[in-house]
Order: sequence, then structure tokens, then C-alpha cells
Amino acid sequence: MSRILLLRIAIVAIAIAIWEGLARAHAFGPTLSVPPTVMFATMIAALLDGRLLPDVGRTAAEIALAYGIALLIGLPLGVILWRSRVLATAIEPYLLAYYVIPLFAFYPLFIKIFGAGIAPIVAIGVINGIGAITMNVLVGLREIPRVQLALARSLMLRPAQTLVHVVIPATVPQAFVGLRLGFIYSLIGVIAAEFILATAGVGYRIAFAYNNFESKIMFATILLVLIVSIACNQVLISIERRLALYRRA
Amino acid sequence: MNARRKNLIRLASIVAVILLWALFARILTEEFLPGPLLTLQVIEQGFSEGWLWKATLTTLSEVIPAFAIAAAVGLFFGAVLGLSKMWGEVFEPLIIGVYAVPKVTLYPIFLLVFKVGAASKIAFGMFHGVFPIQIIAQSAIANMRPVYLKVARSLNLSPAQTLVHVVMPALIPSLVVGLRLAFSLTFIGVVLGEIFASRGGLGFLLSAADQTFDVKRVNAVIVILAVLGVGVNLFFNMLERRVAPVSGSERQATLAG
Repeated sequence: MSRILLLRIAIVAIAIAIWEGLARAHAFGPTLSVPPTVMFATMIAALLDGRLLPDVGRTAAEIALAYGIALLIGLPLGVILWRSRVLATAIEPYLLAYYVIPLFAFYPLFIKIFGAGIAPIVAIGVINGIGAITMNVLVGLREIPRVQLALARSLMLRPAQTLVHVVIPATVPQAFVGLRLGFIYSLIGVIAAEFILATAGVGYRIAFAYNNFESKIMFATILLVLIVSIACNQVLISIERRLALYRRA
Repeated sequence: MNARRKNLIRLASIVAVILLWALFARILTEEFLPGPLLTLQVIEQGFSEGWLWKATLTTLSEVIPAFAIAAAVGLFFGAVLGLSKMWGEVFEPLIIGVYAVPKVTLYPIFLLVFKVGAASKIAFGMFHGVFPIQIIAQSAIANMRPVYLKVARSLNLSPAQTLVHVVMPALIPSLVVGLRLAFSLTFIGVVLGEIFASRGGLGFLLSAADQTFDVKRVNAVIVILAVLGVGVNLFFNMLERRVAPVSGSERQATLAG
């Protein structure tokens, strides 16, 4: 196992070293030849002198808001679809086809409905997140073993007790997959929306730097987004693994 | 619930969505939100005047090569990493890490490398689509039941026969799922690329219509995008049912995951 980890680290290190060497030799032309060490240094400097902080704060607020609303809509929707077979039959085809349509294509309509500012950006984050949350909550609820629900009935558990002792423990591992994906998809939706229509935020900052040939700050901001999103995903995946183990135990 | 009742409910839900759209259009006025009929007229007009055809063909001419390259590259690396347990384990978290990244942040790099034309959209779409195929192919090959290969050996099949009669049938069901997910992501990647910076295609048409406040065209493009996305997805769903006894819950899980 440790050999595998070493190999993994070695591969990443070698790839970065080759990139560093090529960039220092200006092998990619003037705009693209930013060495990884310079990207990293620029990122740290921009964070310390506060240049990036307003954008980071705004994007974080948009993602938090979008994810919060997606949860508020997506979780109850999953429960409702589990309870009502008619509604589930009616809505499930839309859920299955949810991510095959480029959802951010709705942005002109969102601008019309919500005006300028952060509302249409948050809206894209919301619709991007809801599908994964609802779908996985529904799948999780459907996978509750019938015998457990029957047991709860024969023990005459009150609805609240059934919820706490049967439904939630049986559903959480699968539902958490939806919570993780919902977060990632909300994040992707917000940043994609910022690219297209924002006047602030990290997505806007990257697009602005690209349009103005400021490659150093562009790469530094890209690096920041990559580090933060990979870190978030890793934390969520490790929680998910633990929950899955707990289910098997 | 029997199949007939199910189909009836689904039909009713489609009708309900269209009626809701028409209702909102009526309340908000058609200038604010063109309704279904007006949108259909604009689409018809777009096809007869040619601008919608041109944009659709441009987008497809980017999506198809991007998808083909994603499928080939994904299959190749999926096979290589699926056959070697060690290298598979070494690369798996790296690949999943890159897969979870908001790829749109990297689009400026694609633009700088491949310029604003079709090449950057093809590369960006391919970058979206390659991961599901690679990940699914790797796990399908790594998890193929050893007994299949044992049977092939005991029947003295040649390597080519083993590939055609044992390996391929065992993998095809998962691969079709991978191709379906890959197509959706490739399509989304290409359209996003077109919206952000391009000179043609449905995404370009959408952002141009947005900038001139032409909601009728915006709606027309959204409908075409939805029809393309859903249509191809249905095609792959049919293919899945034909090739594969993959269970329903498994298919849902892969879609969501």
C-alpha cells in the first residue's frame, strides 16, 4: 500500500517537475509558460495581500447559498417522491434526463427572471445541485430493507422513532453520495455561471485575466480553485467511505 | 403499477410541463417568455432560414469528434489500468480527483493552446467525456469474473476468440453506460465552451441571442439542446436494454455517481 502511495506521489512530482522545466525553457510560448512554482507563489502572494479575497469570499457565499437552497428543495423532493408513487412515476424521467441537458443554457432566462447580480448565478448552482441530491435520496430511501420497516411497525414505533432508528441510518450512506455530488455540482454550476455572466468571483477573475493576458494571476486563480475543489471532494469522499463501512458493519 | 398506467402518467407529466410553460408565458407575456407555440414557430423559421441548422451542425461537428476521441482514449487507458492491478490503484485517485474538478476553470488554457476555433471545443468536450469511460472501463475490466477467462482457457480459445466471445460481451453492458455518460458530458463541455468563447454553434447562438435580448431565439436554442441531449440519451438507454441485463438500480446509481 505504501509503495502505491509513493508511486502516486512520484508520478505527480515528476509531472510537475517536467512542466516546471518546460515552462522555464519557455516551451509553451509567452502566455502559457508559467512554471508551477511561480503559479503557487503568485497564488500565496495574492491571498496574503488580499487581492483575491473579495472574489473568493463572493464565490464561497454564492456556493453556500446555492447548495443550501438545493438542499432545501432537493431533500424534501426526494422524500415526497419516495412517498408518492404517482409523482415518482411522473417526475423520474426528468430526473434521469436531468444532467443530459446543459443546464447553464438557462442562464439568459435566469437573468431575465432574477435580474443581474448574484441571483442568476446562485440559481444555476441550485438547479445543478438538486438533481443529484433528489436522485440519491430517493434511491437511498428505496433501499431501506422492507423487513426493517415491518419490524418498526410491529414494535409500534412512533413515526419519529421510525425516522431516527430505521429510515435515517438505512438511508444516510446513499443519501450522502447525493449530498457530496450536489455540493460538487453546485460549485461547478456557480463557477461556470461566473465565467459567463458575473462581475466578480473567482470564475470572473479567471475569465478577466484570460481576456487581459494576465497569465500569472489567471494560473494562480485556477490553481486555487483546483486545490480547494479537490480538497473538498477528498474530505467528502472520506466521510462517504466511513458511512459506507458503517452500513456494512 | 401496470405499464399502461405508468405510460399514461408520464404522458400527462409531459403535457403538464408544456401547459405550465404556456401558462407562465401567458402570465408574463410572450415578450418576456415566449411560449411553446411561438418557440416552435421560431425553431421552424430557424431551420427554414438556415441559421439554426448551421449552429446545430457546427455543434455536432464538434461533439462527434470529441466524443469519438474521448471514447478511444478512455477505453485505451481504462483497459491498460484495468489490466494492471498496481497501476490501476496508483492512478485511480488521481483520475477521480481530476474528474471532480470544475473543468470550466481550465477552459482558458484550452483556448490558449487550441485557439478560439473548433479545436478548443473538441478538446474541451473530449476532456469532459473521457473520464466516465476510462473509470467505468477500468472497473469493468478489473472486476471481470475470472471464471470467464478460465472457461475460455479450458475451451482452448485463441486470444482473438477470447476477446470477441468472452471479454467483449462481458464488458459491453458497462461500456454502453460509460458511453452514455460520456456523450452527455462531452455535449455539455462543447456547449459551455461555445457559450464562453466561439464563433459558431448552438452555445454561440445562445450567448449572441442573450446579448441582443432575443428571448425567442434563446428559447429555441434551449429546446434544441434539450432535444439533442435527451434524444441521444434515449438512444443509449435503448442500447443498454438490448445489450444488457444491467439492473435498474445499478443504472440509476451510475447515472447519479
